[in-house]
Amino acid sequence: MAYPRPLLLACSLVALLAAVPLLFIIGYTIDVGWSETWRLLVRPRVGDLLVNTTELVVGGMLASAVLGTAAAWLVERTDLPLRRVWHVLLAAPLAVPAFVVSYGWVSLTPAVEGYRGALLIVVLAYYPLVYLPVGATLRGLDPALEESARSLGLGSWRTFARVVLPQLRPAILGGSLLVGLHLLAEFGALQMLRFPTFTTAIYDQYRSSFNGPAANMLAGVLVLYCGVLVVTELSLRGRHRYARLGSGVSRTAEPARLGWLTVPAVAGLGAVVALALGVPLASVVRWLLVGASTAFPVGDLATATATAAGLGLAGALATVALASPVAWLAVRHPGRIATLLERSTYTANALPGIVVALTLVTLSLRVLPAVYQTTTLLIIAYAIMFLPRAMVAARAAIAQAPPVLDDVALALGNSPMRAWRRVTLPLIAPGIGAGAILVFLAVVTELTATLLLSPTGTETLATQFWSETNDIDYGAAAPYAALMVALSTPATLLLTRSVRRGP
Amino acid sequence: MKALTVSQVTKHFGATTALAGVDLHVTDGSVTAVLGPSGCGKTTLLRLVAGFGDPDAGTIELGGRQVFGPGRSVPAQRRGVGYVPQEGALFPHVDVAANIGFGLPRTERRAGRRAAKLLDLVGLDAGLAHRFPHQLSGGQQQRVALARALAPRPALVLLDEPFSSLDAGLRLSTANAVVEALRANGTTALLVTHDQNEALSLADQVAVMAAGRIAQVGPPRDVYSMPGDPVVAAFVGAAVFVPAVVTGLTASCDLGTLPVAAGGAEGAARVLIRPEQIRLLGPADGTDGAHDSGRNGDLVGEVTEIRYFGHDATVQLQLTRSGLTVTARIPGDQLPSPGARVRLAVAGPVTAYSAPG
Repeated sequence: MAYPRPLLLACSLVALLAAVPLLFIIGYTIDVGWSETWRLLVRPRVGDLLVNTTELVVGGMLASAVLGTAAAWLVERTDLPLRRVWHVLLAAPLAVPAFVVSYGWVSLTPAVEGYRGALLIVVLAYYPLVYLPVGATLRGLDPALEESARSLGLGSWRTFARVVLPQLRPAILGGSLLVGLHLLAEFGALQMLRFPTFTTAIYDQYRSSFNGPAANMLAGVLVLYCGVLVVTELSLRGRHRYARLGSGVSRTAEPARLGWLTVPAVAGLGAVVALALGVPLASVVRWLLVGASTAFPVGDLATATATAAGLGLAGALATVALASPVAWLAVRHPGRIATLLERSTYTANALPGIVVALTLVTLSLRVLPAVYQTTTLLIIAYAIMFLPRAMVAARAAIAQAPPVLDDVALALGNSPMRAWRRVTLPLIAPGIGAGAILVFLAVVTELTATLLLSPTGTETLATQFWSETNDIDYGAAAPYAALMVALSTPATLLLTRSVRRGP
Repeated sequence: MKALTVSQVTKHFGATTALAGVDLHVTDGSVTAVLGPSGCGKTTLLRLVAGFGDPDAGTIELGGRQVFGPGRSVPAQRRGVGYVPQEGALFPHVDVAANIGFGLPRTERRAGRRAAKLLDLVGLDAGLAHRFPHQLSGGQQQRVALARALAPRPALVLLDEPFSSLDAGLRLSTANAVVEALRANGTTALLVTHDQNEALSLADQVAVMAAGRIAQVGPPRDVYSMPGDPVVAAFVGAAVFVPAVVTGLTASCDLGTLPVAAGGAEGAARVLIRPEQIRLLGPADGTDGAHDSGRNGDLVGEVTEIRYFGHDATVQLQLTRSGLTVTARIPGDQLPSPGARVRLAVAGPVTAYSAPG
């Protein structure tokens, strides 16, 4: 298969850019040398971090998997009252950044602390990452499978365990992996709870010794950790075929009757929503009222919003511009090289923001000091971090415009350019636009990389919120939190809808 | 007047040969079916005619105008050829009227009369004009796709397995409606299909393709009753091959002495008999069962298997004399019982091919 040369070149550059942080970490480790690496890593401090991080990741993934799967089953497969309402409420916590959830709890009660506090917060913030894919899979599951199991003599529980659960495995594993990667990358929520993990330690290390090898070595361990998680998920997922065999539209399943279990089920889901959504939002509103009585810095708020929006816009445009050619290559010219280039752009999925930021700081200081602490470098960091989101959207969008439509347009007398403008563009524009919106909203609430990379004096909603919270000025932080939640809501709705349409 | 002339067209994809020198003439106003198994190169041929790719060698002429030849390749958008792909491929972002008007100049698109006229031509209600493609059934989508291809008044329409994605009932009615519309419009059509019934029932001319070549071209009846070689014979319908010795216009074989169509092989040969040529004459006399043949030297066979289709049935028979197994197609209301011994005869001429090896 012949690839168009200019497209291939552009895609190679994008893939290379996406791989920069990973390549840098590997190169750096080799450069530092084995004995120095050993000295920096084999310390009691690193051991503590490893234990903390592992406890949090394992606990968080397990709890999210159980909570997300149970909630999805209740909403999708039972006669729970008001199922559509529950669906929105259960997905809604995604609109509240984890550090805002943490803020909501910490500013409410000092009892939330240590491992248990951290586990509670991260599970409340991230269980929707399991809930959404599992719910989508349950919806797409052919009820004939369950009916066949029942007719073969299996009861409800055994049908669930032997037929439904194996079908859900990819969704549960995939969702849990996402939770794990988010936990490894989480900075704000855990820092606020004073629960040290690799990510918070890298940040502290960076703040105290700037770009010393210690921070970079910890980043290397973190990347390795992410890699182990990804590989484990891939090997557990196996090579079975889970999709529906055969054709035709699948019917909707007969919902299971909850009976007297309705009350505990509603109470349980109600508690989850109250803890994950109610507490943080109530807390924000309370501090908003308290803060409004003391000080309401309209000027600062407006500046931070404008800065965040500007960065979001630039980040979204840059990311989509980088993702689109690679997605085009992957969809229209499938092949080994296209797959390799496409995969490379997904590297950032397993790279915590702190690692991307730290490598860009170190690299820019060494190679091109002029870009250090510029908006350009910050935008590049956003582009690398959020390339996977834009890729997913762009890929799906381009797949909406099959090449046969180009053929038809040509046969009807349109030149290739006109065919592209009249057919391809209108078909892919909405999907790519949705990708841009997702990136925009991710940038607006991004904290870690922005803290490390933003030029002096540039304050966004997230960084303003962060510095107010650090000064324990919860009232002053509240307006920023409220704005971030408001800005994240549309993206979450978009996400819930696209997942609802199924895989 | 030839609407389409393809001469010595070859096409390779890497090491695989898709077309190995194809010649094809399509008469103005006719419907030609290109019939072949999947992978025989028929879709490649269609795409080269449309201009979606260039042949390695050969020439293509449309209505006397060379559109591909040495140093010349007219791009698809200037060939004026209609194209109806598999599954219709309607533009999902615009409604039916806009789909049909897609290839028209802006002024004519605005007027909207053409869309209504074409909807009528393909047998669809004008009320569908403002539906979106996803609101139509598969058969309706296919008809709109034809209307869209016909809108700019092309001299030739290419249809690439347009009915293969429809289910059985819909396939027949859609196919009939589409061909009726083509004929009513006087449009020349080239239809690519792997379905023998479709090709034989819809087309004026059938071109059977195998391994990148056209194996035989002719009216459906000729292709079916006098296939040029055994491969074509087996592809266009069910076939029984029986060893025979041909002398002049008669063949003698286990099924008796049969008339042979002119122009076949001489001497040791095998003859093609279509299952519907084998007639069952009634039960054989039970008394002389041990003998080779029936009362009047009739052929006798034992019914070993019956497949009933409603409108007709196929019966597998083992000939008493030679042990040869043949299949007969008979009307569904005259079924023998399994194990019965029946007399049979062959009606009409058979086609002889030289014996293999």
